[in-house]
Amino acid sequence: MERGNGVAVGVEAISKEFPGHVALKGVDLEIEARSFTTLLGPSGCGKTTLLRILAGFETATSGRVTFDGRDIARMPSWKRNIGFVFQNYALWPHMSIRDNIAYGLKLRKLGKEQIAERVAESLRMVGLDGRAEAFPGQLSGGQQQRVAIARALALRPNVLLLDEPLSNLDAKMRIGMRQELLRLQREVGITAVYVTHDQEEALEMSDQVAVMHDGRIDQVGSPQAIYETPETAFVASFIGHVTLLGGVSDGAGGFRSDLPIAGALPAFDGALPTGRVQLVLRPEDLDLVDDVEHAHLRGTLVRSSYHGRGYRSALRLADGTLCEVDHRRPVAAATGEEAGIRVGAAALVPESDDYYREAAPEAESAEELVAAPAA
Amino acid sequence: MPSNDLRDRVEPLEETLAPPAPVPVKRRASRRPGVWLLVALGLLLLLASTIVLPQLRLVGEAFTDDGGFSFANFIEFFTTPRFQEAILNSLVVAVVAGVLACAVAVPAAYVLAQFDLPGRNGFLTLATMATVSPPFLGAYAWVLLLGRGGILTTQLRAWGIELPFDTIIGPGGIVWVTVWATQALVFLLAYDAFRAIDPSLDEASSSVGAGPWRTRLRIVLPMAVPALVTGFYMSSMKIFTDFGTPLIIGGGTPMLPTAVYYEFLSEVSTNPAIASAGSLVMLGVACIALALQQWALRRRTYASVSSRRRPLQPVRGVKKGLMIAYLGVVFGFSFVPHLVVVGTSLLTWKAGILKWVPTFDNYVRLFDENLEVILMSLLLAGIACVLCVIVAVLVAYLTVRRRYTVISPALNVITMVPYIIPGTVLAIGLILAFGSGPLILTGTATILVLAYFIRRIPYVTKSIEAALTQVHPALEEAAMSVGAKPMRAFRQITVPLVRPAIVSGGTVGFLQMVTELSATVMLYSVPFITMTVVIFTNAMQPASPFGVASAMTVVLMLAVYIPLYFVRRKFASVTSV
Ligand SMILES: Nc1ncnc2c1ncn2[C@@H]1O[C@H](COP(=O)(O)OP(=O)(O)O)[C@@H](O)[C@H]1O
Ligand SMILES: [Mg+2]
Repeated sequence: MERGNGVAVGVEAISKEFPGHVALKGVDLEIEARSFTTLLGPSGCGKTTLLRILAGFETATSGRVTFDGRDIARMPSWKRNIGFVFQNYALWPHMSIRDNIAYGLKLRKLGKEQIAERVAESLRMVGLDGRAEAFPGQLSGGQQQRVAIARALALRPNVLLLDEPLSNLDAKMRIGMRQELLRLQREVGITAVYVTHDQEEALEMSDQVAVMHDGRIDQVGSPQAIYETPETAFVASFIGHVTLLGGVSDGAGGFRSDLPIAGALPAFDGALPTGRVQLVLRPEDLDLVDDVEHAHLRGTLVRSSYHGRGYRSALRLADGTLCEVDHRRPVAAATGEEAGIRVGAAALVPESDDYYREAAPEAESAEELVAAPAA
Repeated sequence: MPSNDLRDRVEPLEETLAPPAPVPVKRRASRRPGVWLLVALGLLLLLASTIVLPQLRLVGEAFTDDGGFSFANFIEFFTTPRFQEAILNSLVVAVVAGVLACAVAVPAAYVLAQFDLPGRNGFLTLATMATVSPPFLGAYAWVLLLGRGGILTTQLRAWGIELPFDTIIGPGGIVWVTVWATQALVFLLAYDAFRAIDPSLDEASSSVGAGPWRTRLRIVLPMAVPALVTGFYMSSMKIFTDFGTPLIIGGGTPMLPTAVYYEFLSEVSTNPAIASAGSLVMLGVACIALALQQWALRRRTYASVSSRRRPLQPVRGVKKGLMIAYLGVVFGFSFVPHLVVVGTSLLTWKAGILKWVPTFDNYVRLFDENLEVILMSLLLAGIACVLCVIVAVLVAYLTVRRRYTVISPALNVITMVPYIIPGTVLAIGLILAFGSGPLILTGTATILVLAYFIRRIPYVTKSIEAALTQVHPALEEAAMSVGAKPMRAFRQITVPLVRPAIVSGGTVGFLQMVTELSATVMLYSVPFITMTVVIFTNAMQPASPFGVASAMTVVLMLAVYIPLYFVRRKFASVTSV
């Protein structure tokens, strides 16, 4: 297959209003040709809507979409030369796998041999060589998924758009398919825009992640940047478990926490906000120490459990915040006793109420937590 | 998929083909909403002018007297004794026939749903067949059998057996015929309801100590109430709006459809304004009945999520015999007309008197004299059916998929309107709207096709709509993403996926069209004569060639049952109406 027909995609100030609901509120995004970009965010944040606007299934209320710099807002989807992989695969049940893949090729008036060749090639790429005559209903979910991808790739589209393509597969298959999808994308040299609400998927697969939140993109960056230097409380809390502590930043590395922190914190990375901020603490960047005197923070142990490679414990800090800590060695303290926390790395984000609440459900039911067994 | 055909008609997409060429931009407005919006507007215009306009003309006519707005027609209608009598008769007959049909059918449905009886599929097939019988067939056959000079009446008299009545003709006859003609409808509805009851419900009932009869009355019957309500509504409305049955077997009993018909068409004195008022009264009653049915159903739709199939209870001995006998009697009576018609079509008639001499003469005469009538019937129904299916598919698509804010709901409502319009009323509206003015259709075949189309459009649309909601919109979007324009995606993806509903809905529509009488009898004119009209005219005249009429009825039955057989074989779940 020829390489590199991927185009660069530009999204400029896209807004989308549905009757009674604003799904997108001015989204900007630049996607490099042949890159793998993920739209990551909780359900309902507008990921699918943005993807459907790229596909031409929806029309933006305002803003521009460009392919290689050209405005395509008015180009209908059947002319955009895209591949779209639907969450439910959307294979045509009345057509064989061969016909599903060949449909778009026939519309493009390709010769019979060429069509047969491309169908075979696409099926080979997704590892379904022998199944051309089967009907979608005869295939497993994973196989249907591959057919959907083959159907999209057979047309050598300029952009491949995927809407949570792995979410209907079981966990094991999902993880296997990630690498396979990535391999295909690299092999074909296509621009891929991938929608998911699974942060692990996003971090593992992407060149670039756009974290979406309530119709906006909060942050765009490499997986490392998104993870290590989150720019908003939402991004920080959506990706992994975090504890947020309020404080004031001088923008030059100085930070004063509302809750007294003993000793100096490690240096922060990246551009630092000024004014009211929140300190982002990830469990894996923290350690539990018995020596309370030499810890950055102290708290009462609420619970602790073993996770295979180590322990995860929750401590209640002096201001009532619940802080989760991963550590290798078992805790000496019993539930209800005091323990110390050492901070290995941390980030600062501007203060906001907007964090991902589902990420910290424990914080809301303290009573239950107290009753939980300790290690 | 015929690939050649596809490739010939395809429009080139080379613009989007040449990778990695930049994607071309066309600076014209997207045609996406355009095509479907035009279709929607066209349909709205068509349906508004053929369905709404005639009814508005009817309303206008009814409320006009001396050129001004007036209630005079209604006052006259309600104060004229023969109309008062007609209203009363129609209501009483409808209610009595509805109740009796339920009383006959529900026990039969219960036994077949509950017990392991032989011939289950046979009975279900008979029931389905009965629901699509020509509506006047019962009246015609029972008069042949039990009229004053009927076959059975004379035969019994010859044997010295006196019947308790002189003739079946009269209001009692109307009820009798209606009960056997409509019980199958109630039967099928009730049967499905009984089968759908979660078996654990009655098991729970008996586990708390309820005996079988208590369980039946307290648990099983209430669960079947929605089916009963709907069954009652449908069978009583069927006779309330039926034109042929009361005229053939009513013996002059005034009923609303016949009274309105005579008021509109009789040679003696016609008064379209009064007839229009009467039509509106019929329409009003139909609306009220529908509202009552909906109201009665409102609090009673149990979502029965039965995970287990209801087991059939074993039964033997006398009990089993009685059950089968009961089913036999119920369906026997429902199919007496069919047997009578087949029988009499194969016997010799002389001046309206039956001779017990077998013959094929009737069929020979039929094909000699009336071949055109048969073909005309099939042709008119066929054209109307195709039209109906096309419009139904488009309307269903526009209401389910393209939810235009005003147009889609409007289309949906307008296509449902004919559901409550009795055939007679529809015909009067069409004559008023298209009998004069810019577009004259009376006297043409078009008006018959139009009437058939209108009468069936609600049913066909509903069945296709139901199928369409099962087809995920992404299937069509997937087609567009690989380069198919909206209309092509619709034709090649969506339409094939709802094909079963199209075929079965269309077939059932065809059956009902080919047996239509109420509207046909008012709208037909030479040479556009249908089988139903010929049979009806024969039935109304003493000493007419009953043998030929019977032979024609047999042909009509074949025109109904052969298509029914094929769709049922293909789609096991087809139940009609
Ligand atoms: N066709 C539509 N009409 C009205 N609201 C819609 C429509 N499509 C999506 N929405 C709303 O827009 C928001 C974003 O939806 P979506 O893009 O599907 O979110 P996501 O894919 O991130 O879960 C949701 O609140 C959804 O209810
Ligand atoms: Mg989504």
